Amino acid sequence: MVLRLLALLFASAALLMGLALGWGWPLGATISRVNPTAIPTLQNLLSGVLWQQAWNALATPMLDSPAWLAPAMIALILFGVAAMRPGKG
Amino acid sequence: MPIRIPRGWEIPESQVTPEHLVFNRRKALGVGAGLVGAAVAGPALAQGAARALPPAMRNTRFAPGRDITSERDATTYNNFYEFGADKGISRTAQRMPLTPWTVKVEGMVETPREFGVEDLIRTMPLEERVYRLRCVEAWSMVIPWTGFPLSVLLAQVKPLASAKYVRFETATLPAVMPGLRQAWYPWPYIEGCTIEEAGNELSFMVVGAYGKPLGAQNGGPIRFHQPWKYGFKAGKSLVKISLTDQRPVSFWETIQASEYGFWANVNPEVAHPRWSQANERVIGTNQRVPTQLFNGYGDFVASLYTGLQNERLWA
Repeated sequence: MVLRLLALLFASAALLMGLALGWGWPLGATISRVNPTAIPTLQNLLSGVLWQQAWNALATPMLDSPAWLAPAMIALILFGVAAMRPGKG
Repeated sequence: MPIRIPRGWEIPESQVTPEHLVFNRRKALGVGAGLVGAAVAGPALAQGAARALPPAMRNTRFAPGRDITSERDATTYNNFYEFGADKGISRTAQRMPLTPWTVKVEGMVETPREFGVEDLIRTMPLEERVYRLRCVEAWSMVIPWTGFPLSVLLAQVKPLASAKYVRFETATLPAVMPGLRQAWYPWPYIEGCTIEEAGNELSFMVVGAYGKPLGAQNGGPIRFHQPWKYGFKAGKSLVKISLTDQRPVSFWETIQASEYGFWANVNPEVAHPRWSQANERVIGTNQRVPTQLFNGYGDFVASLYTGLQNERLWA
């Protein structure tokens, strides 16, 4: 039940983001608008803990994808996990 | 028979080092120094060596009142988002070719022109100015820049009376600037100031630092600097300067205008929404020092803002 509720929350967030920001508006731009230093901080952290290529290969494409995509993906995963655990989701 | 009286600095011919030894030694030293330099500093110095910067007299009118930041710190701790959003972009930046490089000065001017940076270095009245640099992130440096007043450059194109603002545009070179892949940022990097601010004697076009041609990581081969404003107002690696009657909307203003506005004058009493601006971390030391109004340059610039109290002068 909790997983399904969470999944529904993320799905609603994705829908709201798509409607409010536009379906092509990137996640990076959304984060930058909320907190312009968040991405540099994240990059410093990732580059320091992992390696520079991790940023280019993983974070950049994710941040360049539409803002609604990340919550939608999380919602899908949560729905999937909930479906695999009948009665416990 | 003429009598020859040796001058004070003369020594007997027998003590003079033979010419072939002098030139061989210089060649050997030159090769050695080049190898050591390239090994220690990497491509930065190699590129700097290929370009030339004539010696410039230091202008003592703008004494910083603080020790100069070490060259190593100033050239390895940089904000230059085109190369990445972290501070360690120095090595990546060395891939950017700095010669040949031209900067267009156009827009509301009588004679638009395109200047080669090498020509500017040869013809402009170069001087060294040791300026404080205050970043909006509450850290600071003191850097000996070499350059010339922006007003001298603008005089060459003769701004029209209708020109109200100066807009600075940074290069966008996707092949060497990996940060441009962060497509959510509003490239190119744009900055601007009023024509009055541009004409202030502190407004400085920078072509060198620490007596060397300006490195890519610091905005080479040519950048702008107004020391009374937060550092993000200074456009780096400039390719275009336009005079206009429209207030330019800057890169950071597009991202978040409430945090990074058009004026961005340093003021310790106006906090950033997420941190205080009351003091600053001096890079290369363990010190925090109080930040000064207009970064301490109030005597030179405060009069620019008379009658502008309704503007957001401090963000």
